[in-house]
Amino acid sequence: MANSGRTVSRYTRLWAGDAAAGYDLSGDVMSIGNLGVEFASDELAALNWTVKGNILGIPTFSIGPVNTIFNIDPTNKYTHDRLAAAIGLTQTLIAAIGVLEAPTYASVCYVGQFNQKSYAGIEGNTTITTSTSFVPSNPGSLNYISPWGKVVHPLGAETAANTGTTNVVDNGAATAAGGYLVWVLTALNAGTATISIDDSADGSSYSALSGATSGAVAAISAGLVQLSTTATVRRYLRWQLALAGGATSATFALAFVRG
Amino acid sequence: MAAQTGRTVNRYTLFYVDDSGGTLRSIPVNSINGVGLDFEEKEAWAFYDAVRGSLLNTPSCVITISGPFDSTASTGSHTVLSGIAGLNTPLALDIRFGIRHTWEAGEPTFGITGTTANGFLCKSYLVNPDDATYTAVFVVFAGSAAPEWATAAHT
Repeated sequence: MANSGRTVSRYTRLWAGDAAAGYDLSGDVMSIGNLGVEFASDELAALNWTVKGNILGIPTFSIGPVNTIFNIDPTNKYTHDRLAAAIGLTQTLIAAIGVLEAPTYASVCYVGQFNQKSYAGIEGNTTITTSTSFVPSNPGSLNYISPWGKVVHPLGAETAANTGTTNVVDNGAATAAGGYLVWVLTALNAGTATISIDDSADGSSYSALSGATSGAVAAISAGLVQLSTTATVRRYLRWQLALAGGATSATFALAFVRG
Repeated sequence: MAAQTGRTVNRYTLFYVDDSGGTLRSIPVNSINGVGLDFEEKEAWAFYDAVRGSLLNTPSCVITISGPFDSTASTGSHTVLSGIAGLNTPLALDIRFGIRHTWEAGEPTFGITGTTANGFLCKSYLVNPDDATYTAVFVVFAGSAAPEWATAAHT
């Protein structure tokens, strides 16, 4: 179970990808910038109001700029290769915040899909660094107003389906407002992997959370899947994995945002 | 100890805001700006006036806070703010200034008691993981009564 409380930056991780790639940027990222949600509003005042007031409208999610150490390997695809290839493309991001430990099950995370606006090299006194900017996203196709969720599976390899009941996310209670999952698959040795979420009312008996699945994925990639905004999500969540077609290992990160 | 008067320091200042369930929570802050009403200034002078003058119109109140990112259950800054950002439900908000000791009734407060019609909204919530801090902005709900200075807690 994740620690709670205050922390420092060295326990933050950034996982990213799109339909054609999934990668861990944490080994080269030096700073991520603000992880934000801001709601549009106009300050209004009727004649007899004693103070100007607001009603909050559509949110904007934002992240970055992400500053990284320049690191290149065209064969193995290091940070430069990934970010240079992603210019102009929509990236799925998970920024996981560990509290005095690396992010783990139930750690707080910020997730979303952002258009990568730029990627530029910066030559310092000794080291070359890079800066990547993402366009603040007005999530027109997203049915939810919060980018804050919990890590259901920290980036790591699994070789079989999950039958455990200890590495779970406990929300304290069930909800009936849906949610969405975000996944990043960084390695798959063969075949396909299906990344999904199980839920449970008692923390002992789990079953598949309807609709909370990546579907069969045949290569490293990342994505976001939304549930109905009225879907019931029971109290406890755990990751689930199905390997097929000769796959024996998948390395992935998984997050869930409740509605 | 009885309520005190005079000057003080910020370590006796507490920031309270409703969580998403309507429970007033004291969350960790290390910076608070915009505590008070800021009246809109309208120039109202004429050529033949001896000196330019203004009148004051409807005030606004925008409170910006920042502090450490904190995921402590129930009272952590992230726990509370991530749950109220964007809600159009008026929130109680209270800033209590203890005068050289823990605040008690009779010492200054600024805020508003939350009702279905009165309160603040959390307009934005940003976390900077690079220094593990947050910033949040609160604005007044449309049609709400004005927040006020008082010497009693707002709930």
